[in-house]
Amino acid sequence: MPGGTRTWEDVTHPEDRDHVRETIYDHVDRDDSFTVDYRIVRADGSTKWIQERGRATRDADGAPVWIDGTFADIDELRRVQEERERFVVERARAEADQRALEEKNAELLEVAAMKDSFVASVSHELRTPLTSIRGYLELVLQGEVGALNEEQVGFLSVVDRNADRLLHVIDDLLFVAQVEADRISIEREPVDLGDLAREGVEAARPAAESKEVSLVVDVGDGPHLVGDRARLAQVVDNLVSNAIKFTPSGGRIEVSAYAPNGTAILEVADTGIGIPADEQRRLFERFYRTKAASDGAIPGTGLGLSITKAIAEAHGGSISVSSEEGAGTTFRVELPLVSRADLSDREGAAT
Amino acid sequence: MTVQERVVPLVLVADDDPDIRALVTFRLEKAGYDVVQAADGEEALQLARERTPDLAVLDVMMPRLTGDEVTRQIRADEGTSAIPVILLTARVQEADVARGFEAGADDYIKKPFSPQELRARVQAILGRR
Repeated sequence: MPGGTRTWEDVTHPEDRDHVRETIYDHVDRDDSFTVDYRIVRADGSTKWIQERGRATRDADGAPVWIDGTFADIDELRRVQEERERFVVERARAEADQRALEEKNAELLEVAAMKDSFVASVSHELRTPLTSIRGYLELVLQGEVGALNEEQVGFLSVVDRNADRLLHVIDDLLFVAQVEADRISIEREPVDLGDLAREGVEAARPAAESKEVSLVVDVGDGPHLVGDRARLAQVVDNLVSNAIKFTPSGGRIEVSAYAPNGTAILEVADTGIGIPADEQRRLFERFYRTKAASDGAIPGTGLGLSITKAIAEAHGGSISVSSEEGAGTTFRVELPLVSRADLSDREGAAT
Repeated sequence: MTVQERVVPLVLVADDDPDIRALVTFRLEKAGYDVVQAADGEEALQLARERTPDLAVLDVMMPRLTGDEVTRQIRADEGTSAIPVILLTARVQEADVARGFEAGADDYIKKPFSPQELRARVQAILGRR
């Protein structure tokens, strides 16, 4: 750099040189004024945006002699512009993301609606033939179309029992589908958990007696809570029928219900075969069956405990198990005396 | 024949499933009622208007007109608005039951139902008249 002077070439940012030169030559050729933005490199190596405006001054023959012009510092302006461009790009991206989310949401809603209508139509298609099967059986078994002999009654009772079992499986599957679709609805009515326990035990007594398992119920008055009576009865039935299935004859099952401190507790304790520790944490998974259940060909779909858990949770409660192999198992359901559903209802009423 | 002249109560039974229709008809006729049958919602509505039954037992999921809709139209028409309605529903969600009551149904029975239970519900409604 002779004499320390920096030429135009030195000052102009290498990436901008070509287009600046082209712009100026182009406009000079057309005898036009030009405006061009470019970066200059300062002595300390930093860059700065400038804007050059100019026009060639010509001699008498019309040949360009020099360029008259101005330089403006547009560094700040440029920075603001870049920021704005960045902002515009970002906003466009955010809007695209938003649209994608909305589309996804609409898709999910559609899937949920399809699932709902699928569940509704499956429910209808399965229940309609079962209505006829059970209804006509009832007429025949009640002797409405003539007397039956003992064997006919026996055989038709088997059909009836199995239709009943089929209905329970259908109900369980539909319930699981509802839980999965987050569509489980819980009634809010006053429930005496003690009464439910007593009724559940009485309903299960024939099964317990035929297996020679003693069934004891230890409940006083209550606990009284707000919840879904039919669903909570299902909890009692599921736990008691499980206990009967997995307790060998001579064993004992005790059902208790109490409310020690603002929480209703239902316990079903048996002296059955117990559940190995590694299987205990999988018990509440849908369709999970313990090795003892499948090896022993004990009937069941593996849905009962997952349903029981879903019902407890829908009431704002929980279920837990403690078990020792060969000694027995205790299931414990804890339910708030005032259910979450009841609370949210009150909140709704207050607003 | 008008309602007042009838000795035996007339029940309208509407279900698109012929087996269920026959089952309900058999049970109710055995219990001493006259039964008129419809295979879809429009037929049910037409029969309700022509015959003014003492009670209508309507399936919810029927072709042409749903049981809910038939109920609504029965309620809306002065000539039929007093007919009690029992809905038969194979759907189990609370919302479905609520829709039936909103339409103006007096009772609902879940499928599968026991014919004996149906008869008891019918008697409960007709007996109180």
